[in-house]
Amino acid sequence: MRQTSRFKTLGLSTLVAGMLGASAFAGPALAADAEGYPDHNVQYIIPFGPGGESDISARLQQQYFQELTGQQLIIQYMAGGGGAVGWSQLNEMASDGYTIMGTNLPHIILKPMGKDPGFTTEELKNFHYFHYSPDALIVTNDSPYKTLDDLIAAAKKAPGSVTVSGSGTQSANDIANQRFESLADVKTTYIPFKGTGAAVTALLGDQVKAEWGYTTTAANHSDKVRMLAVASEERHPLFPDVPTFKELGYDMTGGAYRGIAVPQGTSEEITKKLSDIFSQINQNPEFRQKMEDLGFVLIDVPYEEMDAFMAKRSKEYEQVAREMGIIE
Amino acid sequence: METLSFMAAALSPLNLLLAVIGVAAGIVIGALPGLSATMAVAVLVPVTFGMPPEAALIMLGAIYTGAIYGGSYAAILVNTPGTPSAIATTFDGYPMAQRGDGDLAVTLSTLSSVIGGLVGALALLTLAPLLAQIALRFGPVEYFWLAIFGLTLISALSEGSTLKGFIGAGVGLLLSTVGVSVIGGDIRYSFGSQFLLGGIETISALIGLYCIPVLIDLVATPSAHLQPPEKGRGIRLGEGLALIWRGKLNAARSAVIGTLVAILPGAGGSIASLVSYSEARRTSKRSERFGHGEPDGVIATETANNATVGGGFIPTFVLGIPGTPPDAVILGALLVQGFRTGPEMFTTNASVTYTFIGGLVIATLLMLPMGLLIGRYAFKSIVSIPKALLVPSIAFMTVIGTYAIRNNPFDVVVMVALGVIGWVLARYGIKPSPIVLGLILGPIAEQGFVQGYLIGNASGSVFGAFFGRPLSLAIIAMVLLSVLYPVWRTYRARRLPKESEEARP
Amino acid sequence: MKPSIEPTERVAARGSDASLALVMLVISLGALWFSQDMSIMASVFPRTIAALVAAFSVALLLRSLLMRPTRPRPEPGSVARRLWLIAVLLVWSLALKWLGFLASSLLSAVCLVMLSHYHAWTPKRVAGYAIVLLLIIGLFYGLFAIILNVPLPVGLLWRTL
Repeated sequence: MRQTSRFKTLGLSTLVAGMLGASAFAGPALAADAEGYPDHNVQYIIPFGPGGESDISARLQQQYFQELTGQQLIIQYMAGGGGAVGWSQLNEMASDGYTIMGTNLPHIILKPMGKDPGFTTEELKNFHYFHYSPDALIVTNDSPYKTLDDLIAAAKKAPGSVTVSGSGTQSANDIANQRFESLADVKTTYIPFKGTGAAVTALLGDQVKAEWGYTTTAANHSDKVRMLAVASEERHPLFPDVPTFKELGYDMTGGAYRGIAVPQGTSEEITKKLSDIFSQINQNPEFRQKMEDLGFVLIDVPYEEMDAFMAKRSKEYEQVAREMGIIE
Repeated sequence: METLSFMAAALSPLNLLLAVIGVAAGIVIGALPGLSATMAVAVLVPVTFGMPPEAALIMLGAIYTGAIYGGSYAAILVNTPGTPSAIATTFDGYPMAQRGDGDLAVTLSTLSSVIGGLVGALALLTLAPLLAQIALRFGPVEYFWLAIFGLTLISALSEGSTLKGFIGAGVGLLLSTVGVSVIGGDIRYSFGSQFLLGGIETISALIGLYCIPVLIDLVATPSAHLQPPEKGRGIRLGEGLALIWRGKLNAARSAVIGTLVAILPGAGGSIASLVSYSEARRTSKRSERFGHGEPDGVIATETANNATVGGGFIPTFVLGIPGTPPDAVILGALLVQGFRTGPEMFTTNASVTYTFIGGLVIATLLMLPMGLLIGRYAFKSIVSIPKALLVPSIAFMTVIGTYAIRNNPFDVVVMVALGVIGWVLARYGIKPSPIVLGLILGPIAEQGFVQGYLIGNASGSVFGAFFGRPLSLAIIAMVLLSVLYPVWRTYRARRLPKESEEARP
Repeated sequence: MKPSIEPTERVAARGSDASLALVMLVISLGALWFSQDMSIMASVFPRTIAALVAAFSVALLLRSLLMRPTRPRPEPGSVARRLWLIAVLLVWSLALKWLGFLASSLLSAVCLVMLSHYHAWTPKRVAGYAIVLLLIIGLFYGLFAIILNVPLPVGLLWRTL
């Protein structure tokens, strides 16, 4: 799992000749020091398939990473098990700072609560969290539910008759729905789909009455859907007309947070440096604009504040998990 | 007229050059098992950041088209689908190559791919908004019935015993449930292993089930892998054109099926080509020859899978929902470039969209000369390479290809293990194709069924959800037709016992 | 490797069909057994399929006992070489993570050349094959590792050295 692109400069002939040896010397030769970091390309592994929000964020960071460091960020996909395949192998990868992996909340906290997914939340050395997409309850433009109250009234009238699509079971969407059900004291039917794309397709095709998605989903399909409420602290700049759940009297904030981790053995200096690089990308006005246009809310959690941030989130999700019956 | 001028912009020297490079790279990548169109496109995305959006899209589209076409080489020459879209190409392509007609099969696949690609691009140009609305009508229940329709292929795919075919499909369906389930979030059949969490990767299963048995039987005897072709008969373009003309109805039908299946997000090229293969077989006068090197089989699958390229862009552009996995990557690239998908793709951004479609047409046409050239070379080298070098080369390709799908060494172990199991099962009469069919259709059938049930339950009538919608009734009718038609045909054949006696495969 | 449309010789298959049916029956019952701890939504599908496979297996078992099934004669050839190939592939796939991509691939490639070679070895041939083989591996390595940026495994073994 080691960086290979440093061989780029070598000719093919030397490559063939030195092939057996190459694997042997590659290890110590790449011993990293923080001074010149990064002096070659960095592998950025996305533990999901291409085209999702994690991928698009990484693609946007890719451009500015190159501007900032002169090195490329190479995006790889390692999909499977809702991220578990990647996360369970992260700590086996080279810890020289040239392999980094995207991590997501609530996934990395919720997954280890069930059956063993091959990693624990504490084992992941997160170094920067850069944004989140607030949960949002979305309906189509011509839906009879004009406001959140319309939907709640319909659900109260006939419990279970309001169908809501979302991505997967025990996911951010499922949790949002469960919290909403208990806060508003209603019963809906949650229909899990494979990914946000499939969930929104079901909404657009009128297969379901509403969808749990994110502000990003609404931004992406702004001509066809509208949001009833957003689970953020303040209204999203892109949607000044959409109320937050808090305004409507439901104490609900949350969403999908995205960040990056390194293998556990990575040195403190390099981890710190990586955290700085991604903080800087996050400050770039052009980058901020692009991210906000896509519906993300930028946050900036550097390496030093990570433990406190994770502890706070863990506590929140633990409570939800207890309500959902994932843990006793 | 404006549309035409936009499309003509694709003819600029830079765009043409990018299309040529894209198609060539795509063909090579598609021909290598494991390197899929998705990966080819993903690798190129950062390169396109510095380009004008039209040029970037043309290059991505060209790579994609080339890769889907390139998948047929590995299917024909080594019985391994280079991309999942080429599964059905192995059914008749490889038998053709075995008997020395590999050159003809490659020529046929080239011609068919060009036809399919053009039909798909034409649909994207003219019918996109309309077809996108049809795609939205497809709910979970329709996907469920579509999967059931796909499973009716079992009887067509299982040579010999249909009963064993059903068992094979069942094994495939069970394999598809391994890993974290979408519905319920359970970890199923992983037996405590973290490696099985991600489930069995379809492409690695394909490589294992189709390619490893070929390798195993290859080392067992000193005889040649493929019959060498007669000397000096070129690329057999004339013969190929004649066969295409004979199968023109088949090609047209397959192209339409390919386009229609591709607009359904979640179905994809493999299902498109399998469905058109079975339709070709069902309606053909020579249906008993399918699976034994029937040119019409190659025509059907290759037209269908290249039609999915244009077809898949329909929901991507109109709805912002990727029709196929490579579309998902291209959609991401579009978003990064600052484009918003939706109706404005055909209004405000029309210049980019139509230039892209023009580029797609050009890339498709470029496949003809380039494909014939590369194809001829590929066939010749596979035939002439000594066995002692062919075996390690194929083995190397399968190992590195499987690894590269998701950079996971354990996938290689799964690939080899499935290959060995598949070889043993094939000796006892369970062929790989029903297993693969189950593996591909399993998730669609399962999710469609549970989601349909939940939605039906919420609306008060589960029966109504599954049997009360016009679109599902239409698919159910197709299921019944494809189950009952062979029965009726056998019945009629018994009534009129003529020379059909010896036609038994 | 003849075109299979010609009628092939057939051999009796009662024993093999019966054992195949039994193996499949065991697998399907196993699938049922291991579905016990799944949630209802997740277990509907595997249980249905496992039950169907079990039913088909019983049908196959009955058919093999009541009728006289036949199957095409398996392709001839050396059993030993087949088994060796399987062994090499399995070891190769397991060694990837530990030995790294290049070392394990070179070793396996050499084994495979010897396995699939049926003629005498001459020094010239050995040299020629070695060069071609190195070229092929180098070409693929260049394509995947350098052009496509695939992070090929380097080998955990070398890292500990």
